[in-house]
Amino acid sequence: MRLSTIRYYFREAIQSILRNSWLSAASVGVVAVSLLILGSSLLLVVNAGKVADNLESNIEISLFLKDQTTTVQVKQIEDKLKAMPEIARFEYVTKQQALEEWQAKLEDNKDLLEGLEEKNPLPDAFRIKTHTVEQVAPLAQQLESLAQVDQVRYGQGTVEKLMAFSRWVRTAGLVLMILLGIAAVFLIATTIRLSVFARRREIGIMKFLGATNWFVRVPFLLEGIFLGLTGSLIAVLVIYYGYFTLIGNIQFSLAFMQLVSDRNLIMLLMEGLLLLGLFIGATGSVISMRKFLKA
Amino acid sequence: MINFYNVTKIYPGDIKALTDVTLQIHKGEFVFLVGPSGAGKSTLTKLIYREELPNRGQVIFNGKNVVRMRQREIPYLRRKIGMVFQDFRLLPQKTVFENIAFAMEVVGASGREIKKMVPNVLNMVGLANKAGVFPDHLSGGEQQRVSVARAIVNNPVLIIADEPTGNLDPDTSRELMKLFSDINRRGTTIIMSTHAWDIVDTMKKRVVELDGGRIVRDEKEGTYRYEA
Repeated sequence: MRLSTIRYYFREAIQSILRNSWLSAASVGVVAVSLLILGSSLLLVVNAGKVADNLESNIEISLFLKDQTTTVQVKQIEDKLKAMPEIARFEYVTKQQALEEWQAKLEDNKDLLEGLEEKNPLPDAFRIKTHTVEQVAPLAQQLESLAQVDQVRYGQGTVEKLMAFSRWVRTAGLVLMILLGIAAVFLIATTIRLSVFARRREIGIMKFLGATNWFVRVPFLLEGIFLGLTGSLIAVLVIYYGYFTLIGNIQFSLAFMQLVSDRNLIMLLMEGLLLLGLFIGATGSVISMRKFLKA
Repeated sequence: MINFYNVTKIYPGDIKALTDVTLQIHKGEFVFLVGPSGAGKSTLTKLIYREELPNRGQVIFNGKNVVRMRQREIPYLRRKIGMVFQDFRLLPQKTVFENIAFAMEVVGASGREIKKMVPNVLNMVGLANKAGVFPDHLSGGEQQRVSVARAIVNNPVLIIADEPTGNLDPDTSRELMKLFSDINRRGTTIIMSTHAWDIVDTMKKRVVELDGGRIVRDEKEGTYRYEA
């Protein structure tokens, strides 16, 4: 393809955008908004996933033993635990150790536990970690049937809730994105249709001068791609700077909230958004050209 | 160079535009198509550049069957044909130079070729000094000469002119016909449909008369009306 032809394509596309500046701006805006929503919900999902991962890796089963469990019985339970394949590791925590841990945790408010040394109400316990989170609930049930076991506890519900929330965010974001994406495609299609209509005379002349269909189409395709790409670029810039500003602020005020700040991952997300914008623009053009530039 | 074999064209609504037309046009000929409005003159030319397809019959142009031509071959067919219309069909937002350059851009000519050829053809039609002017600032005759320049800039083997003098006064028409004669003398075939009887009578070229979709007369050095 000749350089002059390429120059012609770009010149025509840009002229067309300027001619329909209001509709072009609207198309860019809709693409920007829909991708902004998509990008934000993706970030939310990524972060929820990270929090869920953190929680999962901290999940353990506490197996509380009845009072007056003898050392022999403890040994027996220990042997049984060793035989269970789901268990990654476990430790035995005596009531004294448990109390000391509490005291260490409470530090300044140690006096709350005063007097407990005499008659320690805490039970002896096993702390058990499984290989995967899915194994926690069934194993806990199994453990309850062991002799001398008083209670089996794990973070019942918390993980499930978090996973459900992240699923919900993902679905809602996806639905919203699809709807807005369709709106964006059709707005771009309308914009292109208008510029095809505005140039129908020119297109007629091009055809009798012997222009190939591609020669006629490329400027419109470029126009749509340009609109989609501009919209997604706006979305990407807003998300990128917005997100890293948020991370900066949160690190001071909410130190315990650890947001995903892996730049590579974020960049990958942004690239995906740009590509999607390009795709939306191209689809919009193709839709309106299929209708108007038959043959 | 152009052969019509038993061509029939019926538009939707059972409107018969051409009925069983057989016609042969040789390279380098100058042919007037005459006849009343609706006789089928435009349809006949449209069949050559595949704007329309016949219902029956074959159209051969330059050794190729236009009827059987594939969609993607059509642009290349049209590049061999220069077209001139009654309403000029220039782009108002482009200058004279750009209008002609556009015809070359469309076929993928280089910037260098464009810079060389456009002044050449503008010279030929006598508008070398109007290159930077917009069509709306030109007279009808000048606009039509621009469209002729555009039609010849890609060196077509055939020029189809559809009532090119329809919007021009007699003096301007005569100038335009002189231009067409020059182009024809250089070997380009010209098919021109017209109602201008004085032009046809003075040019003394081949005349094909259509009426009701049929060829009713085909004379070598004919006149506008059949002379008994």
